Amino acid sequence: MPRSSSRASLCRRSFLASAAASVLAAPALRAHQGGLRFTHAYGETVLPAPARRVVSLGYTGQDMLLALGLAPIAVRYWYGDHPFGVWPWAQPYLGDARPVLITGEVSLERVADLAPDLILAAGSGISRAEYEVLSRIAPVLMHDPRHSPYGTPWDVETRIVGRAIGRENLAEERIAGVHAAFAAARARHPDWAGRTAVAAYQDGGQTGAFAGEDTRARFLAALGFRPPEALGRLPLISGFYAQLSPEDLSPIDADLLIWISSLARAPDIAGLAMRRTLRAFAQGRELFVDELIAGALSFGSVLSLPFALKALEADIATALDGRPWTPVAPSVAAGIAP
Amino acid sequence: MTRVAVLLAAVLGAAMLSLFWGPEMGFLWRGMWSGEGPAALTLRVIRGPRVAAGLGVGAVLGLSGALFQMLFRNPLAAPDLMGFTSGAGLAIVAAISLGLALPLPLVSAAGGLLAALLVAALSRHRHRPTPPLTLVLVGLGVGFTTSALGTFLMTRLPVQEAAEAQRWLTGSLAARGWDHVAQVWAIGIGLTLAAAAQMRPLAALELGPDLAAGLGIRAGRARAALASTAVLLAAAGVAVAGPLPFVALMAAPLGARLVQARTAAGRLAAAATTGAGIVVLADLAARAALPGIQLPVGVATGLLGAPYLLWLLAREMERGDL
Amino acid sequence: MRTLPLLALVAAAAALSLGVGVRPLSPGNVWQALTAFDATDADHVTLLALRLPRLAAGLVAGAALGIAGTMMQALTRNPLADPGLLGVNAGAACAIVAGGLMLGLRDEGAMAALAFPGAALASVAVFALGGGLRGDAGPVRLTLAGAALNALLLSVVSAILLIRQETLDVFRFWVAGSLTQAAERPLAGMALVVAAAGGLALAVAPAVEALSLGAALARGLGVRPGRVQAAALAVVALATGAAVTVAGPIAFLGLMVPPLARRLAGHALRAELLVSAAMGAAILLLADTAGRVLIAPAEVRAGVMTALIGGPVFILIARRIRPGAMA
Repeated sequence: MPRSSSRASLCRRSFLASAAASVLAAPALRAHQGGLRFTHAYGETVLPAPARRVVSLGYTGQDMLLALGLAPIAVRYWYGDHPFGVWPWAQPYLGDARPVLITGEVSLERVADLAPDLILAAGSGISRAEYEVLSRIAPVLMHDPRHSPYGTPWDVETRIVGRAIGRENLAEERIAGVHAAFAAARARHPDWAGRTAVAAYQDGGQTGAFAGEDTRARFLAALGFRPPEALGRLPLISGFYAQLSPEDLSPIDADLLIWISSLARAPDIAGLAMRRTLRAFAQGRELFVDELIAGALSFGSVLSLPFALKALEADIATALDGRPWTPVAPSVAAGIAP
Repeated sequence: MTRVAVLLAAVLGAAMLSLFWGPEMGFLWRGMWSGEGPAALTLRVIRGPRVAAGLGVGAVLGLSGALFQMLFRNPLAAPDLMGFTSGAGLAIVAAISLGLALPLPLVSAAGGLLAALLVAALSRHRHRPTPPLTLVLVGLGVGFTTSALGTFLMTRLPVQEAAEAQRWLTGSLAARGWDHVAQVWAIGIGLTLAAAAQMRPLAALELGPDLAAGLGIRAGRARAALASTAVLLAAAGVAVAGPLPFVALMAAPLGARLVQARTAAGRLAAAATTGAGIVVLADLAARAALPGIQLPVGVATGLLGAPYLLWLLAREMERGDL
Repeated sequence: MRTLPLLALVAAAAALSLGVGVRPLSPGNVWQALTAFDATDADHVTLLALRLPRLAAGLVAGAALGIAGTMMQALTRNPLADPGLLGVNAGAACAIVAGGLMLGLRDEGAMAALAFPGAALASVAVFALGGGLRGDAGPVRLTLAGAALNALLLSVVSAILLIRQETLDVFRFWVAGSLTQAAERPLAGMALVVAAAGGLALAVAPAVEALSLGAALARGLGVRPGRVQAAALAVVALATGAAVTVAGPIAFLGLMVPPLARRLAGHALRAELLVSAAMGAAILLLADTAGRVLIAPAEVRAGVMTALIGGPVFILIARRIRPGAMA
């Protein structure tokens, strides 16, 4: 198949996929007389009215609420050293709010003390037993039943949250804004469509790649990239990543290889001898992503995705400029450039 | 008898403390009487069953430990050191990871009994009776093996299931409801009655197998029945809270010290009460020690129990028992 | 002593370690890699940058744990002594996780620097708690003291991990070690440490044997018990620390190797130490190679492999000893 037509079909396919997702999502959000009805992984939840006091138990839920102008009364701590567990891309939306930070096991009584009218628990990892107790405190929303626990697409999730707090129009506006930002990036870089890209990690001696329902893989897909074929042949773990043998890194030898890492761990990547056998290394098509941007990609939210796009667009373009000798600034800074 | 009453009162006091402890204590107290709002909800739906389940779990674990310790006449013979609770825990994690929808008490009992049979079979000698310490050591080995299997299993589980399995193996009382309470108390009371029916053989076995035979007790059969009861008691606790470390080990000697009961029944009652107190206080510590952070109760019993075991070993050595 | 079959075993384990893996290597490739190394050839890199360092790390860590286990068992006259079981794993892990959290350390070198004193401190502590310093560490007591210390330290570790999600991945390595990061480890330096520990072990071996006859008899033979114990503990701490630095904590190897070594070497401690070093290296290499292919392309860490084999071995040994007879 000639390259241009495959590119066109890919664009069309991703457009169709997102259209299908919104059509599929519609019945789950159908309003019911006397309340808002939601179908989720642990059953069905009815909200009597749009929520105002929201406890966010999902590790990334704060971003969606803040994007829609509602500060959560409690935030779940995931990682990183940021006030109230809110990362820099979402800080401006926090205003004067001082959400409670929930760390460790979810303390149900703390949640009860806060007297919420909605508990957002999609992507929280809570058990069914915890869900049942929480449901006695306030209506609880779990992850979308059609996706894995941490694999609901950001736009579907944002739409659900918008619906739950009665700000659907604002949600659609925000979602459209992010889609537009990605469309604009695709338009600025038509050469990206159909090329291969992969986000990889190197941790504790183990190399792996994000794929499937992972936010980092979706970020690359939204820019028109596709995953390398060899990666598709590896078994997916939890639906979002694959482990590689240290003796065979060829599945991540894509046109663009992004290392999700932090500056402190950069020496691990620099010391990975097998990396030097990859064409992506020899041709300067690797991009090192430090802690903050890696966090933005890992959150994969309506707020963090445009933040990551803004930070990475120029570097991706440099990595893919076809000239191995142009330095990719973050990779040089991390000491992993050839 | 008065000492038993004092201990009972102390444990009830601990339970009340666990129920009301926190910055919102007065608010909870009013909520209890008003019966409405978040305070009543916290008491009825969250802390109430949590504390009641903790009491039940502690009592069955304490009782189980006391039975083993009396049966083998050794303070180190406890279902946690001997690998029975970790066998029960591994069975539950395996069932969760295989997606089997079996009732947890059954799975846990099967795992615990299987581990006990393994320990008994592996420490058996053809030519001489098995010393209790060999049972303890072989049990420790079974515990090592199950935890290695647990680690291996966990690396193969999806992220969400692995996190859930990790919590099970640590031991937690989070989100336990009244159904858990009913389950552990009902099974616990049934097994306590079964143990009560075996008081005569137990008292005889405590005198030594020869004297027991002289009293007309068939030692092998009586011991197997008592050990099975004790394993099932431990499994009933594991099915609700996971393999909480060291509770069964600590409860009986501490209880005996507090109550100084002479009869077997008295010591068992003291062990059950003490076990209940240990779990409730450990859970309170795990919830309230670090502000804003809740830890699973198994972490706290591990932190409490390990120094106790070290102290126990030091004392045993002083007395020349080890 | 049967030297030849032993050497053959180590050579076979080494050959398997170099020859088996996800990427098949032909003898021609191997020859090319050795004579004309090309850093961009995946076969060459596999051999020289992955399998060779793993082989070296396996030899260093395996020999170290064999020596440490043998010395511990000889000193305590306890067939259940193993540097891993007696709290080294947990000591190293606890030092790393707690230190890493408090000092904000992230890089592997600093972590290894914490692992070393943590492991050494924990093994000395358990030795003292288990009565080892007085020379009367019964097998049950020492083993249980180790189990208690393990439980205590691991409770601290899991408390920290439950609070800090991101430490989980880094920590996994420090619970059950592996040889995957061999190339980034200070192999040469640690090999020297292990050699020094081995030399010290051989020098002190006759005195340790004399000590096993009882302190009074040993004094009669001109042995100073305190000094000998200190030297033997230094051997254990040095060898274990080096092994943890190279491969992370690997339990059960020091337990499994000495009884096998005694079968080959008889009851002469010097010979037993040498045989243990060789067998420790061979077994660790085999465990690593098996873990490499068992669930390929992912790997089972060598520390998990030794734990899976080691639990049953522990039971086997525990069956044999008579606690009553040791008291």
